[in-house]
Order: sequence, then C-alpha cells, then structure tokens
Amino acid sequence: MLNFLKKEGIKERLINDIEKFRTFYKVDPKLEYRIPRPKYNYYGSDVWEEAITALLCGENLLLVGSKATGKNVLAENLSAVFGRPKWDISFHVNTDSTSLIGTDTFKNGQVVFRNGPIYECAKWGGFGVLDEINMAKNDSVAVLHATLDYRRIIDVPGYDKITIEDETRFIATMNYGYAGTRELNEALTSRFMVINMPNISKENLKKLLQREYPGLRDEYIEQFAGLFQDLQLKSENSEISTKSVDLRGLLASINLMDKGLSPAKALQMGIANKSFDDFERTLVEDVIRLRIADNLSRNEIFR
Amino acid sequence: MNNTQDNKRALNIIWNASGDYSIDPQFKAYDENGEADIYWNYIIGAVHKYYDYPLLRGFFNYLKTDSEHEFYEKLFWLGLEKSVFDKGKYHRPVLNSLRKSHARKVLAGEAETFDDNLLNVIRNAHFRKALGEPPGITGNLLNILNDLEFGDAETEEIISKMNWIIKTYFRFNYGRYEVNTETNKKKVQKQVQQSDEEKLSDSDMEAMKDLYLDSAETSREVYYEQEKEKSKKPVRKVRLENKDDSERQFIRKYFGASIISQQKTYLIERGLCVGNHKNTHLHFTRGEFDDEFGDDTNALYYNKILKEQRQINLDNFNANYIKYKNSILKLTNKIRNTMLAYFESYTGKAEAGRLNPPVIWRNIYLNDNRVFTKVYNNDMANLSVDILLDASASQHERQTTISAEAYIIAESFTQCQIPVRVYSFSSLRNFTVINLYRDYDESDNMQIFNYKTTGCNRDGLAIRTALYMMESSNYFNKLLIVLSDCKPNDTQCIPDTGIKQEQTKYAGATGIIDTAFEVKKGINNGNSILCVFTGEDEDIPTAKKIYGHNFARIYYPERFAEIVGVLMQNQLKNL
Repeated sequence: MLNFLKKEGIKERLINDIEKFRTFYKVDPKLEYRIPRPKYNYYGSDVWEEAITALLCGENLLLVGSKATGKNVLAENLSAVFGRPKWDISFHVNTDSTSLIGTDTFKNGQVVFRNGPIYECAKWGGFGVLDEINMAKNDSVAVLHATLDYRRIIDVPGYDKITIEDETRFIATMNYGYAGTRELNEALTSRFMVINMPNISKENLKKLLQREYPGLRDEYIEQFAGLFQDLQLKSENSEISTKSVDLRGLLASINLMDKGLSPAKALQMGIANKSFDDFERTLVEDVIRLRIADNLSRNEIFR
Repeated sequence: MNNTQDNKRALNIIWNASGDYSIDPQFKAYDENGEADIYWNYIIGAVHKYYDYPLLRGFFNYLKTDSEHEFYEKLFWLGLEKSVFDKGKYHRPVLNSLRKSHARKVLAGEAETFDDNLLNVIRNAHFRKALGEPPGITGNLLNILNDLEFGDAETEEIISKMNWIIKTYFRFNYGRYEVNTETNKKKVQKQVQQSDEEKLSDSDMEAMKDLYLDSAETSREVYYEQEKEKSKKPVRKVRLENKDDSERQFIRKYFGASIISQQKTYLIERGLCVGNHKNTHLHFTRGEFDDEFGDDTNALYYNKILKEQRQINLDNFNANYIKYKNSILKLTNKIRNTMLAYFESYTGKAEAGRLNPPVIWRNIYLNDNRVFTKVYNNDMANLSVDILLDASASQHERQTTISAEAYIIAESFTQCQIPVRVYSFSSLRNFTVINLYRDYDESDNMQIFNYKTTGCNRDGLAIRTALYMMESSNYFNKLLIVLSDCKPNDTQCIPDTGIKQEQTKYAGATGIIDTAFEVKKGINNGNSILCVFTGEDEDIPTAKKIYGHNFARIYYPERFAEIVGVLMQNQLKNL
C-alpha cells in the first residue's frame, strides 16, 4: 500500500511519518484479520495528502461527497495504509447509543455489558468508519461527542469510563442530499476535519479501469471513462438524477462484458436500468448509444 | 413519447455532445416518426463544441434572407456533418457505426425525404460516400459534394467556403424577402401587452369599480364586431332585486357560478364578514360559466378573456417547461426528504411489539415487562396544504409566473401524496371572490392555469376565509401558503368610524395591520402560514410585518425550488 502511495506521488515525508506511526503502534495479532486488504485503490493525491495529514495529527475525518466519489474506498485504504484494524459502523435512523457504545446483556447468569463497535474500536486503537453518519438522528449520535473531541473518552452510565487509545481515529462518511439524509448538527461537525470528496477525474477513472481490467483496450477505457463523465455532467445539470451515475454499476457491467454478455445489455443492466423513470432511462440510453455501439462484441473491447 | 419529451430528449443529446448545458440550440433534429434523432442531434451538439457557434448562427441568419433558405441550411448541414464526424470519430468510435446505420437508412429511403429533389440527390450521394461507395453523381453536383468537404477548416473558413458554394452554384438571394416581419410582429405584440400592464397606484383605487367595468365595456365593442348577432339585447338588466342581489349577480357574471348555495354563503358571511370586514360579501366559485347568463354578452366576454388568460399562462408554462419541470423535481425531492427525515416513525420500549432480546433479562430478574419495542408512526399523511393566490390587479404583470409557481408547489406536494387545495382571491365592488382551482381530493393541477387577476385585494378577509375553510378539513397539520405581493388594498372601506372615509379605507397601514392580525390568529390556532412574496422590493418590509420570517422572496426564478424548498423544510420540521 505504501508503494502505491509513492507511485501516486504522495510526499515522502508523509509516507515516512506513516511508517513511524505503524512501527510505534502495534496491532494485537488476534485483530490482524481486521486490517483491510483493499480491492480498489483510491486515486487522487490531493485528497490522500489531506487525509493522511489530518489523521497523523490525531484528527477525525468526515468525508463528504456524492455517490461514486470513493468515500468508503478511501476510508478502507486509510486504515490499510496506517495498518490499523477497522470497525465498520453503518448508521441508520434507528441507530442509538446502545448500538454504538454497547448494551446490557445476560451471560452465564449475570447481567454484563456487551461492547458496541465504538467501544471495541476505542479499546483496541482501531479505525472506526462511521458510514452514512447523517442517516442517524442527531440526538442519538450525541453520545459520540465526548469520544470525538479532545476528551477522548467513553463514559458508559452505570459501568465505567474508558479512555480511548491514542491511535484510534474515526472516519465518518456522508452523502449530502440523498433521500433520508439530514443536516449534521454543528456540534458533531465541529469534531471532524471535513474533506469534500471530488468526483473522480477522468484520468483517475482511467487508471482505475486499467488496474481493474488489464485486458480492456485503451480506446474503450477512454469510452467508459467518457461515458461516466457524460452521465456525471448530465446529472450535475439536473437533467437526470444520480441513480444512473453509478460507478459500481459501470464496473459491474464491464465485468459482465468480460464474461461475454453484450456490452449494450450489460450497460443496460448496470447503468440505464438503475433509473426507474422511463424518460430518464431514455436519456441515459442516448448517452450510452453515443459511446458504445449496440452491436459491439466482447473481442472488440477486450484484448 | 410526447412532443415536449422528444424536444427535451433532443436537447439532452445536443447538450451531451457539446458538453455545454447552457446552450439553446437553433436547430434540433427529429426522425421520420417525430422522435429525437440521435445521430443528427449529436452532430448539432458537436458543431457547438468544435466551432464558434455565434459565427455560424450569424451565417444561418444570413441564409434566412433567401426564401430558399431551408435548402441552403440543409446543404450546409451535410458539409458540417462530415467535418464534425471526422473531428469526433476518434473520441467516440461509436460514431462510425451510428453514421453508417444512418447512411443506410437514408439510402433505403427510410429517412424523411426533402421537398427539393436536388437536395435528396446530393444527400444520397453524400451518404453513399459515407458508406465507401461511389457517390453516383457527376458534373456540378459532384463538384458541390466535393466542395462541401470542409476538412480541418476553422469556422470563418467554413463560412466563406459555404458562401462561395451558394454564390457559385446557386442563385442565392434571388428571391430576397423580408425576414424581419416575424420579429416586428413580436415587438408590436409586446408593446400591446405592456400598455395593458398598467400598474395600479393607491390614487387609482377609488376609481377602480368603474374602471373595471369600463375597461371591459370599451373593449367589448371590438368584440361586438366579431359577434354581432349575439349582441342584440341590451346589456343591463333591470334591477328588480335589492342592491345586494344585483351585485351578487354581477359578481356571478364576472367570476362564474357559485359553488355553494346562497343560504350557505350568507351563513359563512355572517361568521366572517364582521369587524373590519363588515358590509363585505363573499363569493365562492370555480370560475365556471353560469348557464343562467348564456346569452349575456358581458358574461360571455368575461368568460372569453378568462380562457385567453389560461392560454397565455399555459403557453408560458410550456415555453419554460424544462425549467419548471426541474423545479418540480427539486421541490418534490426536498419535501419528500424532509418528510422522510422528520416524520419518521420512532421506536420505544413497550409491553407488546417486537421482542428486544438484549433486555429479556430485565423481565426475568427485574420483572420489567417492557422488553418489546414498538414502532410509533408519526403520520406524515396527516398534513394538508392550502395554496392561496393573490389575484388582484396589482399582480397583473406576473400572472404567468404566479400560475406557474403555484403549479410547481401544488404538483410537488401532489407527487408526495399530500392533499393540496388551491384557490385565489380578489375583491370587486364589495365582494371578495374565492376562486377554487383544485380541492384536496382532486388531482388536476392544470386548473391552476385558470388564474386571472382582476380587482382589489382584501388580504385580511381572504386569509380569514382560507383559515375558515381549512378548519373544516380533517387533517391534523394544516399548512397555508400565500402567494402575494403583500399590498392589501380594497376600495371598500372598513366600517365607518366617524373619521373621513379616505383615512379608513382598506389599504396601507390599516390593511397591513388587519392582515397581520389574521395571520397571527391563524398561527396561534395551530396552523402554519407561509408567504411566497411575489411583489416589488419596496414591499418587503410589509411582507416581514405580516408574515414574520415565514416568507420567501424569489430573486432568481431558477432558484425558486431551492428557496421555497428551504422555507417549506423549516416549516415542516416544526409541525
């Protein structure tokens, strides 16, 4: 992973600091399985440097961005780079303090406290990824305030107060403007350093496609990246919703093409059909038709 | 797919090809079925991308000085097609197959044929060449075709080449004709409209009663000329009834039949037309023509201008369809999102419901029976929205905008399955007329385009009536959205207090205080009242006085959805 950072042109000094961080903070062998081995790499050296610097300084991160900006990929990459075990905590409307910190439970005839993921993460010095943090109600995440600010403690009523390990970091992600999301309150936001995740650039998207599908012909890497950009531009101009601007869908479609499904059909499944509005789908299909011919075969796309 | 959608689809292809979503293309292409043609619309968009379009636009306009301009335009497009195809084929390999399939379609005679046979011959030759076949033409035609190959030329060069072609091979501008007629016509129309849009000042208000009748009557003479047979009868009926009844009849003629019985109207008036509004009356209508006046020219005339205004409102809406549709989309999402985020169900401990395993021990050891979780629904369906439009003459110049804005709000709430009722108010003589466009249980928001301004506005009484109407609805949360310029003004004075009448007329501070009072009363009774301010900047302080912070001023129509959305969001959150 550090080699990848060097290749991406991240400053030598930051990489050295990461190495120091990794040698200084050891990982309990029984938790090594929690250190992620990322499937995708995050491309974008500016964001990398911002994130690394903030984490080295002991700050928590809030990654804000629309769909397909790689929020979770970056969060996963970061815990891999820093070599820390990762806890994934998905937030939803019913998230409450018990699901974060822990709850009473009954074990061997006794009432005991069952640790929640935040508690565990803090105890073992992990990286906690708070996914879609703005899906939860603001009052239910207020329990995190003391955890996230300078106090760095978790005080469980009726049990104990623990101090968070120094190497613990929290990385929250949020997508502003999704259905069901809400404004994050100021108290919570002020406890994070915020990175506004940019849309993936064409160059980076091409790099990603090249790495994922080494067999893809260059001219089609160009076409798929162009297709994604066309859709992104259309969505930014409110002509279509974000449903079809789906990087996961594009990658999955290319996968299906690799397996032999016709490109037009694969893109229909992976991208166009993501929109359930007939007219919007027609607009998306037009964009696809101006990039990928209906009768294209697998061999024309792959080497 | 309908025309508007095809239009939008064509636009989207053009935008996509040009990469610029701000352009308003001069040309759009449709295939023989009237559907947006993907290849040609791409070409149009790409021309915007690769060339300096303002220059080309100038040239296209120049071509229009010839009566045969369509011929030259199409010829020019054939040349442009080849050159932007060449420029784009490396960026989009798919163009090769799109072009070939289009060429095959043309040669198979499946594409639209032009009226001009020469053009058909040249086009077929052009696309035969595209397929790599011999063009099948000779002599001058072949020369034209070859000259249409612009290659890598820049915009100016292309234009001069095309200019050379039309001058050398054709007799361009042989049949020169006036192109400016159309724009001239538009100008005249605009002037006519503007002269109609006279703003009403306070001092004019006194003369309002007569003015409105007069304006109808003066223009009626023109109308008479067209329909002379109908106008045999004298217009005015002999006043048999008492004054009130004859006034009411006039109002019915002017605004349409009443939707509730006279008895009930009296009853409502008794409750509402009191205090500052004593001696005024109400009329509830849907603007439907009262058959009783089937042969009354006045009534027919009023009905006619109502229909004309509807058409104007609709034309404006259709002309800006995309913009408005986007606003609806944005506003709907905003409302839906607020509903999702703030009206969600919440769970709590209960003695029955879904078993909550982590706390079962509490039942065994602490005898706590509340080991279940129960979902409490916060019923978001329990909300109704009333939209009240100020239809006084001061809004005259904004009729199209206001009807469209009301439609956007109503449609957005409708799409969120929230019941909406829309009505307008205006005052004529001593009547305040409530014109209902759509009720909660209806779905036709298009009726809102019947919106037409006339007369004065007695805002206080209108809001009082709206709140009264809302009271009788069965919804728990009630939201009233007023689209108004916050300029209460009625010729009908507030009841005589012994002071000179002019000082107590329903306008200025008196009107504002009365309206503000009604709004406060409504809020105190648990309703939410919002105002979308439609007036001039100078009246903003008034809007603040009446509605407090609950009003929005639309500076940029493009931001309508965002601004109104935020206002609604704040209001819905607090319900």
